[in-house]
Amino acid sequence: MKITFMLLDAFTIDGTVRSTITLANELSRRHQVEIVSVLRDKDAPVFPLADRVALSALTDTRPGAKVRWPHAGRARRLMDEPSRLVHPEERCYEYFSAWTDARLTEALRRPRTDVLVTTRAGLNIAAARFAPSGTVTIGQEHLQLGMHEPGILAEITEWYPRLSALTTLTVADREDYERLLPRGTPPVHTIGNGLPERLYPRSRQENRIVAAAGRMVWLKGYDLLIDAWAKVVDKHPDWRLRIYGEGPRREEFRRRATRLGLYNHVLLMDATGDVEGELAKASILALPSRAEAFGMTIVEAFACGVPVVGFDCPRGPREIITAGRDGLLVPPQDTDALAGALTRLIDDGELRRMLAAGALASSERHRVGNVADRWDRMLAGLRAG
Amino acid sequence: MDAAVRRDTAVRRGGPDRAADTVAHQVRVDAADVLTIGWLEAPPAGARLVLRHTGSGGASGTPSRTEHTVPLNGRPSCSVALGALGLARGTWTVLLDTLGLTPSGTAGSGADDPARPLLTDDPGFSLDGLRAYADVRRERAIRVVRAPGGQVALDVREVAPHAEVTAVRPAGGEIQISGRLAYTGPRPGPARLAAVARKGGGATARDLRIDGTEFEACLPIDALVAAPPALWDLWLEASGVRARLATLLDDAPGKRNKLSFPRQIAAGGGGTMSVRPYYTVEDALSVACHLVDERDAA
Repeated sequence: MKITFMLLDAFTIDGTVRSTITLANELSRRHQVEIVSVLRDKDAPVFPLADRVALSALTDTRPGAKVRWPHAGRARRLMDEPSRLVHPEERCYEYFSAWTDARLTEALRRPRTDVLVTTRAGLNIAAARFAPSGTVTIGQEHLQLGMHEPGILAEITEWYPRLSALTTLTVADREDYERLLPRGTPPVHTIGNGLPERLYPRSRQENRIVAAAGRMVWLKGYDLLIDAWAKVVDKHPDWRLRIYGEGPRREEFRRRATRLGLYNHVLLMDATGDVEGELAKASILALPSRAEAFGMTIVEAFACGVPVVGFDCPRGPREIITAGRDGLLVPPQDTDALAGALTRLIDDGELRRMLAAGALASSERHRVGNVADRWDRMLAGLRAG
Repeated sequence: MDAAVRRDTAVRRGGPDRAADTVAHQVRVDAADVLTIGWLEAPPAGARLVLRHTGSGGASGTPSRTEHTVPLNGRPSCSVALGALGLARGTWTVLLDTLGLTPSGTAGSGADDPARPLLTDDPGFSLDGLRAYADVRRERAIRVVRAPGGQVALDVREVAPHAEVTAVRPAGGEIQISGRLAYTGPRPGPARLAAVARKGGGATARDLRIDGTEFEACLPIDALVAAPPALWDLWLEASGVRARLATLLDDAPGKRNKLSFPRQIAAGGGGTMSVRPYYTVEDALSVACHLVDERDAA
């Protein structure tokens, strides 16, 4: 079976790109797999791609890139024109153009594959419109339904039923899309992101460190975590909080830590290329997000034997974390409760080690091999149907 | 070792490409420079541990290779007294040589090289361990480094004494600093915290006591603001040691961007000054004193 994943830009650093490449690498052990990127401006993807996975791009803006004769002049002209195919409310509309419209339409009409997996709303809608009926089309939704504006939502409602299937990251998302779309058209499957196969370092639960990791933006809630940490260090002044990441709020978070007198207790660490290596040095992962579509960091922490204390915020965390088995959940945005749960785990080494073992066990289900099994089962069902 | 852990380790070897590798669950160097490596399942009988140093070579520029080999004798753990090996400075890769007992893969350093990188899931150190290691007098430090792929290396470097800062409390007209001497061994008794102006030669000092290697220092900011605005470098002077204050043993280099201390405002000889501790680009602790507008200070 040949499976084609279509990404807007396979060459950028992005959660969707990473999870798609992880899945493509794994599925390529079992099937013929290719990745088609609508855009290309670099020679190679940032994330490691298996040699078995073919990679191509519909448009190429690398310096010196050649457009196939006789399209060069047309490409230059159309690249400056806005897309008419993709809805302006698609969150990446600015990256599409009349030239990507032309190339996309051409590629989708003759996909030369058995299964076409598209990875965002604009591409899902285009696949539903243009892919021939003999091709199994799967739309992936990495976004919560509520994140879509009304205009594109109308297109989703109109075109998604033509897809063979839709996948969401969480059960809550699946229920939302099922409510929106007419019964069973298309069937919606929940399949989360997979952990790449690798040797994960394992926390020895020996460092008095709580880690957090992610973009330094409002949604990630690090301001709430720093507030909570001020209460934790009252009781445990020898514990340290390390927040890994970059982003527009970094300075603000650092000033907040200083203002609260936490300069000996909080370090705003640089983003790291080895998140797992850093997580494994910690004993607990804090997840103070206000919302989290999935929560790949939770799964990565589990793989390192690090339990997670987080807000029971919408979507991912409550479906990934099982309170009392691999972590603790507290009411959203309740910093007292977050401080209380962190203190409880710091106080109770036995509970922490038990949750650490539970976290390791929970990570199994997220291994990309198991995630790929779920894809295989879904594909078998669709192709039989 | 319980079955679940063993199975899990087997699962996490990283797929068929690395199926022949045996993952070490412990790779540590203790304060006595003893390297201990432990496996949940012993490597094949006859396997040897190889420490390999690749240097830049002599004048010809050709790489020189030095190796130390340790037979494992089929045991699931081994201890190597690194001090006796006199390891040269630099990076020593740690390899497992199974002498062709398992299929040799491409992960080795050459097609005919039966030694493959030792893999571990041990992060390689604890922060308490790093400090305990620095509590001993030494001129050379050896540390385990784990690459993101799990490969193990030993980092061997020369070290000079410093005063490891563990906490700084700038408040109430003082800067209190806690820490411990690193690489000097215990130096109990009277000592001094010296602040030395980077330009102009000004200096001020305060007496303190060292308990073993631990110290508590207190620097009143009056002495700093009485002098012209300056950047003050902090030194600890104990019996036979002059050690720069720095934070180097927390595995978080580049603290300048990771935290900031609050400033204190005080009136000095030349006007109103802001006094703020900060980390230099080398993670040494200094104090910046500069004049501020009185309205700004308010």
